[in-house]
Amino acid sequence: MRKRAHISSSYAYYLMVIPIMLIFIGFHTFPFLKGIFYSLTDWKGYGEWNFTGLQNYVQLLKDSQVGQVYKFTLLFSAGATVLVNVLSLFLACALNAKIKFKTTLKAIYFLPYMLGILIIGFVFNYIFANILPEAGKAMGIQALSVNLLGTEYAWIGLLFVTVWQSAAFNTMIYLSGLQTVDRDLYEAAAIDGCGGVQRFFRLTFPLIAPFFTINMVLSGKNFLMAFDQVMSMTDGGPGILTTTISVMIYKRGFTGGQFSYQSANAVVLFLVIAAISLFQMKVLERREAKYQ
Amino acid sequence: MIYIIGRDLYNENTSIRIPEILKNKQILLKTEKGLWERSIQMKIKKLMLLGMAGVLVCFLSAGCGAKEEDGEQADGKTTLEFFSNKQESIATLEKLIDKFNAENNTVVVKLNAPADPDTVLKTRMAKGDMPDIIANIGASLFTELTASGFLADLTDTDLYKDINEVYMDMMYRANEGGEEVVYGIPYAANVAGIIYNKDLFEQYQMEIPHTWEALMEVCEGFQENGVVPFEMMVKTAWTSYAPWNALVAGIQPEDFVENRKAGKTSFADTHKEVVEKMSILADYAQEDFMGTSYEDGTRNFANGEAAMMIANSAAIPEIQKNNPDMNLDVFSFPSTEEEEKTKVIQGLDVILMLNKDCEDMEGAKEFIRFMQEPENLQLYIDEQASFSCVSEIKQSSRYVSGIQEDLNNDKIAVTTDYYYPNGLDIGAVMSEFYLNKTAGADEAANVEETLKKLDQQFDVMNN
Repeated sequence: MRKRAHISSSYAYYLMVIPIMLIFIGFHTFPFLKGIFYSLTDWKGYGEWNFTGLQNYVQLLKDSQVGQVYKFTLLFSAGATVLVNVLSLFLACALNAKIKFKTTLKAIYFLPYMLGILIIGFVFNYIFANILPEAGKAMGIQALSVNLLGTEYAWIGLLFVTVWQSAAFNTMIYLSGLQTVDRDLYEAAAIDGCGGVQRFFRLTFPLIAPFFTINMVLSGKNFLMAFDQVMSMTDGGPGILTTTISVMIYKRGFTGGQFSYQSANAVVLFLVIAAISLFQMKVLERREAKYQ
Repeated sequence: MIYIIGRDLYNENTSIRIPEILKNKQILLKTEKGLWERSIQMKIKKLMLLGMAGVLVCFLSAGCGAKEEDGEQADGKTTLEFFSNKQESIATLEKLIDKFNAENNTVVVKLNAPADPDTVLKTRMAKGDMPDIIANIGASLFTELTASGFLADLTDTDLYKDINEVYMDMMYRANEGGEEVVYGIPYAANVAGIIYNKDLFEQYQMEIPHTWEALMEVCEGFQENGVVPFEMMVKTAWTSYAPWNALVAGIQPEDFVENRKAGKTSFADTHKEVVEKMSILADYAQEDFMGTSYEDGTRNFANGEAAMMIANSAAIPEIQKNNPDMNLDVFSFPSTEEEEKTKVIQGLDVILMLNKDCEDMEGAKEFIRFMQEPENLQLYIDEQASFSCVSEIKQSSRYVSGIQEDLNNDKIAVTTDYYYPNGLDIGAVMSEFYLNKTAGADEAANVEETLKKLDQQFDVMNN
């Protein structure tokens, strides 16, 4: 009896899930499967095509540019994920404390997220091209007197803007995590003689572990797919130094006439992201479990 | 959120309130369920069917909606879509189209000039939903279009009778396989050379150089006087290799691209001088040439911060935006010691093509004839600082008077990179070369590495 009741009660849920699922399959899963199919052909995006088997994947392995782009993307996303999470955890703890103008400060820190990253990219483009070199010259710093985005350190500019923009959203998630922590616990800890740093690592951090997991996975995935900021700030240059996988797929797949080849690249990117995300979840969830 | 609740249930001594409330809720839910469930089951089923039908209808109507815009209008006129790849010519084209639509009573032409036009056109090719009239440059996308089977063959029409042979040949070369089939009508051409600041040249009494050595002397002269000789813009992809086409035109062996495609020659064997000279030019550029974009560079040049700029004629209106009274002119880029090899670099900037399944082929041809009428063609090239493909119609702007003589004498070379395989990114390769250069890499090794990269990429892209 209990089981039957359970099944029939979920009609309402199906009602909510099915239309979304249809849309999801129509606009996401189906094109994705099509992409996998085309990655096995030599289709240029139009006209006739032939099956080429795994030819595109073999070519991917041989293409030295692809290797370089994957290396940059992995390093960039690893760096950005760590920096964003450290920074936003720090900010969230600070904003969660009993301070003045808390709400105003929260709004200010959330502001970067409200702006489109393309707009942010163009604004920072101007800063890097005009304001920063002026400042560098005035202060007599040689390295800063030219546009950072045109040097081999262009990735630093890219990383800075990405972290600045993404930290806002992650801070919000951490803040909501911190609200779930019972303040009584801190009192108890204080009575037991637990200090600031210890309190964070022994109490706060373990208690918001699920939020840490989700933030790590989401930001890891987002930065592996970094696109807008690169397009608006460096266009993948100088050379292909700051080209991410997504930028490469877009540029060479659409305008470069390598539709099927870059479809194969997209499939590989999907596998990489899926593998990394699963790995993160596994490791981090085990860590969560440890604290429970 | 499940995690949190789960943990709170577990740590009962830390938060007792939440689990209790939850338990109460569960009890409530359990009792309520049995009561309303069965009576509402039927309604839910109906709702679900309705919902799914609704979603389907949405899908279908979204699919059909796009189609309705095409074809017959209410007043019986056929609408033809004119797809242009140039954002900067929208105002001019709209002027011409309005005039055409007012005169013509069987077709209405509608302009579509989206951002990132090549990508849009490619996606439309993929869908098989091609525009009726297409304008694009005579580069690799044109080559792909000629091979796609979407274009009308205009060989048997009179649409190209006034076009200068030079430009027809330029277009044939861009055809897939180089065959002499008219898939498009050359309309306008751009020129590339060295745009120079006339005032600075006069102030330091510099002569217009006609050989590479003379150019180097001019550069030296400016540098001694503390004037930056060249404004270079490596941060923007398409301006990063601006001198490339001019250098290649003078230096590369004849039919290089064709022979390279056939695997008979290589960049490594023939282009060493080109890359070396690219490097020398950068020695005479402003300090931050790596970080200067097209926008910044044209502005700096307009402000008199450099004496010369290697660019396409399209940069002139851009410079004038920043300094309308600037005293500038253009001269042909001297790439070698032989003066007769110093030519104007020209490329087809606008080729007009027709979709072979165009709904009203006569109407579309009528539009091309209209665009070619002397008065309209003159309007286009004047407003766009462009060059007509009809010999009688001349660009009269004083800003390009310096190359008029070369043009009249047919001292014209083609824009070589238009014939490279689509996707061979000279800009990326050269900006990497410059990056290594500024980072202090060994010059000879850097040149060699770059040539190797060009060969590698040419092959990857050629597949």
